[in-house]
Amino acid sequence: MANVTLKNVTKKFGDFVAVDSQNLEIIDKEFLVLVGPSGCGKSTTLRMVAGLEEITEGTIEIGDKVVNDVPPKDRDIAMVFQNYALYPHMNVYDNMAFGLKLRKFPKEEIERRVNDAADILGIQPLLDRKPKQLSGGQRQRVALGRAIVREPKVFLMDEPLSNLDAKLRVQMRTELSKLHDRLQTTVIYVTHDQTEAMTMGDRIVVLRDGVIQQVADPLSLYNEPKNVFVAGFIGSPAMNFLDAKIVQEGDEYYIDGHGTFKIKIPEDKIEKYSVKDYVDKEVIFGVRPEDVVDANITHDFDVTDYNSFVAEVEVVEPMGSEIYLYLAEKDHQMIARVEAESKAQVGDNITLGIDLRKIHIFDAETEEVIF
Amino acid sequence: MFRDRVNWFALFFLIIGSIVILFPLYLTISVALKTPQELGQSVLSLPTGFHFENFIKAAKMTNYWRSFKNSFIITFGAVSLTLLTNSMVAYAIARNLDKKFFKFLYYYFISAMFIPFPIIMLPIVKQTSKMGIDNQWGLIFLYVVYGLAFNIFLYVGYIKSIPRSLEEAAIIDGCGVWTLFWKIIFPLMAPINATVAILSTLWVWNDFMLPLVILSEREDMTLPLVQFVFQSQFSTDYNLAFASYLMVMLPLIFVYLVAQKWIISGVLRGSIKQ
Ligand SMILES: Nc1ncnc2c1ncn2[C@@H]1O[C@H](COP(=O)(O)OP(=O)(O)OP(=O)(O)O)[C@@H](O)[C@H]1O
Ligand SMILES: [Mg+2]
Repeated sequence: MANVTLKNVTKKFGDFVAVDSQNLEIIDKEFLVLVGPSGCGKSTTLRMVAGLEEITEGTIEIGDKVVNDVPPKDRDIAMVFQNYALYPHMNVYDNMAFGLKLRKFPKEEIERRVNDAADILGIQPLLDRKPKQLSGGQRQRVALGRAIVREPKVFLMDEPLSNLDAKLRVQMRTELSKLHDRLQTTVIYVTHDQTEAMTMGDRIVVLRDGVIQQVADPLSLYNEPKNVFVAGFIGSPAMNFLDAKIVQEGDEYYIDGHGTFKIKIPEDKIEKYSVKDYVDKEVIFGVRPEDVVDANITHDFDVTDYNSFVAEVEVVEPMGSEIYLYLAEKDHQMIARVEAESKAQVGDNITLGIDLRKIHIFDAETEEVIF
Repeated sequence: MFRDRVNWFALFFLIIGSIVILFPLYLTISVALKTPQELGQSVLSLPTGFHFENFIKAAKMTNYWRSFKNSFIITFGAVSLTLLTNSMVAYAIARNLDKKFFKFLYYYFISAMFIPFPIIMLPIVKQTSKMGIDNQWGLIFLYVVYGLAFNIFLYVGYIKSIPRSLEEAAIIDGCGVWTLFWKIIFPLMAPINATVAILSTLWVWNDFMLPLVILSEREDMTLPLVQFVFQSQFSTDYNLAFASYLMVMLPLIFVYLVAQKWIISGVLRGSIKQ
């Protein structure tokens, strides 16, 4: 059992609140990702779990035991650092064996564990080398190996892939996921890269200024963001946000973009959510670039007057498999991610359809989601 | 080709520098190997034969081995204790510089660098004789303490460049402060340890003033002291004097050759990605 539980955990550096009363339950064997922009308190949270940073308020439990006052070495955790932090004067074998030697494991056991880990990570031929004789990817593996041999209850990883080049990063991403499946250990993984979070996490915690914004599995996070921040942070290119107002015409409700667009709110949403409370109020209309489509291409929904608008194409960015269109309509800016067969050219005024099933509106004041 | 271009300016200064250093060295060696007659004929000429008996005579005269042993014990003791203790003090200070007390300690120790020796000479002499340590052991102690000022300065600067995440990794691996220092930090300080070792060795081995004022017994005398004491007897015989000087110098060259291979930059390379 290695649940990790954070209860009202707060960290202050002087007067500065780096982590603000976080509550979080990390389930045994889960791959949990902490994600957020730089300086939002990801590392601080992780380091408090590791015991490298004192907890100002609240409690952290690992496996039902409060560890606030337990030193790092007795918390049964292993950590992988962003800069690898390999011991430069020891070879790869000793780097991995160091923790076990300190814990007075028998020699054969140490040998077995190091060799097993080296096999898993494919670094068997490198065991005699010093860290400076390794490539970035190899160092990364050694750093992982050093954590694996300890067979800890919880792995803590602080942006372990951020120093690798793009290709290696993608490769290591899948390898780490496989490794997690194989080791069946709780992992808390910090990254500022939302793609990494989406592809690796069983659940994702989005942080902003030390405050947890939302905890959810990747798809829920993507499809049901709780607020403007989460909606904008997850997904690339980011969700389009447009200032708008809810207007009522008879039984029908519309999102009115101050004259630039007018989109009908589907009936099921009106029933389910508190749309009626927002009539004549300012809202933020959010739609992801892939839910804005080129009306000249057929889709699984019809483009009508009530789910479309016309905009001028300012920039066309062909990505090969798809095209990013940067659009402008009066003072509204927007990105659409359309199929590669789109014929849109710079300067064209084209009609764009919006997939109403995927739209969101947020309260303009609180930035909380309405739906 | 670009590579073949000669920087005449640098070359010129290198030549001047070499002459300034090599010429006295040449004089010392050649005079040490000559007979007095040869020296009388020409100071600069090469020796015609190698008169190693100069060394034997000089060694006998100055009781070389006894003072060598004294110098060796003092230097070895002072340098090893310096490395062990000063590095520890510096580590404690370097990693706590954000705390007021340690910051104060840092500047306190460093400020000792600016106190001229003559000012503290008398108090030291009085104190050591009162405490009964006006001997080799007292000297070793004094060197370790007086070195602290400059060594802390060197060490702290270096320790700051050792990434903290290394220590954090070691702490999570299960190190206490003691193992952390000896298994991780101390080995990583090899280059700065070598620097401190060389500088301390040079200083202690060649130091004249402290042994002069501290040592009370004649049989405790170090090599530089002996040189001084016997100067009057050498006055007629430069060959012996230079042979004797050479014998004082040689161990240092040996130490330098052994230690300099440790002063390699980049010992930390590969530990972290910058
Ligand atoms: N020792 C410290 N003293 C004072 N402030 C600190 C300290 N450590 C971190 N902070 C502050 O706490 C906040 C959170 O830092 P943290 O390192 O957790 O950010 P992060 O989310 O990991 O960011 P990044 O993605 O850049 O690594 C930052 O604003 C940082 O300036
Ligand atoms: Mg961080």
